[in-house]
Amino acid sequence: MKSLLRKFQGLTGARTMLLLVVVPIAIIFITGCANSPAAHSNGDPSGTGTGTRSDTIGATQGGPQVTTDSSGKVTGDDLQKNKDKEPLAYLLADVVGQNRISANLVWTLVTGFLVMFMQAGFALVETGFTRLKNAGHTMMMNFMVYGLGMLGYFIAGFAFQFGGVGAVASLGGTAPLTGAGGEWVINLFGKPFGLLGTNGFFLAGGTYDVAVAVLFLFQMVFMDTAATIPTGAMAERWKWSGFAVFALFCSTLTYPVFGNWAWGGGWLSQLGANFGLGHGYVDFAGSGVVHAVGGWMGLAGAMVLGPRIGKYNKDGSVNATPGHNLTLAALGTFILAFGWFGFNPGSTLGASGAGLNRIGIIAVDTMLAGAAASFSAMAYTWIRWGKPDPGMMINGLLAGLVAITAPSGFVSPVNSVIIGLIAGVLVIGAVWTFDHIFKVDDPVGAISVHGVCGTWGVLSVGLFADGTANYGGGWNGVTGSVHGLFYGDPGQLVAQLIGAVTCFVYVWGLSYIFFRIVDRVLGMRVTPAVELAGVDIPEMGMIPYPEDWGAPEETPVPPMAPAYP
Amino acid sequence: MRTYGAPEANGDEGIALVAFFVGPTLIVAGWAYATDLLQVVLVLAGIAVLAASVYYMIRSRSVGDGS
Repeated sequence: MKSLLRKFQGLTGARTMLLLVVVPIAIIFITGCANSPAAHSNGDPSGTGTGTRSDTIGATQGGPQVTTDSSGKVTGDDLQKNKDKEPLAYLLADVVGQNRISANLVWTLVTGFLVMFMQAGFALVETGFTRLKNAGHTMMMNFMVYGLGMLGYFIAGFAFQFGGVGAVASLGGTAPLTGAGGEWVINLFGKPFGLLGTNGFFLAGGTYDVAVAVLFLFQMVFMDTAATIPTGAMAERWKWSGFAVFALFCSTLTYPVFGNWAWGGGWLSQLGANFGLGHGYVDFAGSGVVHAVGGWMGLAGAMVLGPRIGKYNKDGSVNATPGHNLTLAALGTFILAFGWFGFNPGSTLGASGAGLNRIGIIAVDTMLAGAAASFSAMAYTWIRWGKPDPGMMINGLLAGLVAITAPSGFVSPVNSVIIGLIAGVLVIGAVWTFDHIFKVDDPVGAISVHGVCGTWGVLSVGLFADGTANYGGGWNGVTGSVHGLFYGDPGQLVAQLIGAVTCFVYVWGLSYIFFRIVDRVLGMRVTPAVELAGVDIPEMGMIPYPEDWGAPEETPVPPMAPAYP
Repeated sequence: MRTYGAPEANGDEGIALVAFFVGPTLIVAGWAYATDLLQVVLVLAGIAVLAASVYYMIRSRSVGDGS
């Protein structure tokens, strides 16, 4: 009878959830795909046609140029003009163009590999900051978000994000992504609002292309960075199955949609071109697109899960729950800092021509902001609590790196230090506020590091961008350099504010609804007994440190036994 | 099958997750690259698989934890 009842309840719930979950998701997928041209045929899977003489045009100030009139009609072409006089130079221009694009492809790939390695850093930091009884579960969430997230991004996430992007000149134009109708656009206030890309599902059809593949790899590891942030905020009580479903949802929808608005030619990036707000929303390497998105997803998840057992006393006071391995956390932070040299300088998507030599300044800005933030975090905790707090020094460094991610392409070294110093203190205040005021339990401080300091990074572009960067003469379709408030353009700060608010409202809102639905359907949180025993054995059937394990009586642990008899 | 020390583990969760991947894959494949009848079949199949994933999620919950 009980079993029949369960079945009945399950079926009733299934019908309800069909309406609440399946239909909306199906509509979103279908709408996103509806405008997709069936299959482009202009891909270059062999790579032989990527990089031509046209990629030498405008790459350097003294090099060949093409001039156009106000209607866009070509009025002068240096290469064509001298073709008959210098035929060999004309032919060699093809070689130069391909070499330039090859250098950019290599740069983007290598920096993408560095960003991929950041997954190891996240895994170590989060595992080190959590308790021994949950170490395996935390480590494996960081491990598997890579595979699960990648598949989601491959299926649809990449297409939603970049399936209508304008030509990425540094990679040879990425023509297969820029096909007509690629971006799904609606008209509001008489202006086009790009919402979703529609080219590049499965990297198939015309997007079976070397330049598109390189862009995919680089952007995939960025998405994975965002997806792995909530695993820290929600650690020690999140059901594995709930996590796995989240990984697909986040990589397919939550992250790519905001990414499209900011980087894929969507409406936030066009605030400058359409409404005269600076250069539109500018987020060079993703303080907002990657880190704030991850942080706000984590906030929504931590709110739905609730605090860990024992975190708060009945009177609301907070109990400290120190992590089990400071060494892992510190090592992971160093790995992250190393990977950030891919994250920020790599976001130029190239190293050759069109102002891309600025990678040197971007790398130095990245170093300085991280160092300044770890210093200010150390100084603040030392002065306030009498000792330099290791956890806060670690989170301080990360906060500085997160904050400099958006402005790194546009600010001076001095300003990067200021941005970092502020981030180092800001993260401590945020951790305290979430802990004591909002009662949101975040075991590793991910919401403060990524959500709060990511938002600070977004705003700092609107304050400190100094107008010296020139990536091919413009940004987001607006000619000239990006200037912040302190350098004469208050409109840029307004665009950044709109982007930051949009990021919070969209990401937190969608994630909260999603986590609530998952909680109803599948369950988000482990049982109290499991949580008290530690989630490693009940959820994973495995423990990371068998020798050190003090097993609770109610949880039989076969030493070194196979998990699957 | 029962796993050591993992009284809540159950295969329904695994089925649900696989279906949660396969459903959207079919839908996207149908809409992005298929035409005519195949397109309809793929999309409908995808929606059905997605619905099945939700069913298995609910079922795995009733078998599993009591949260």
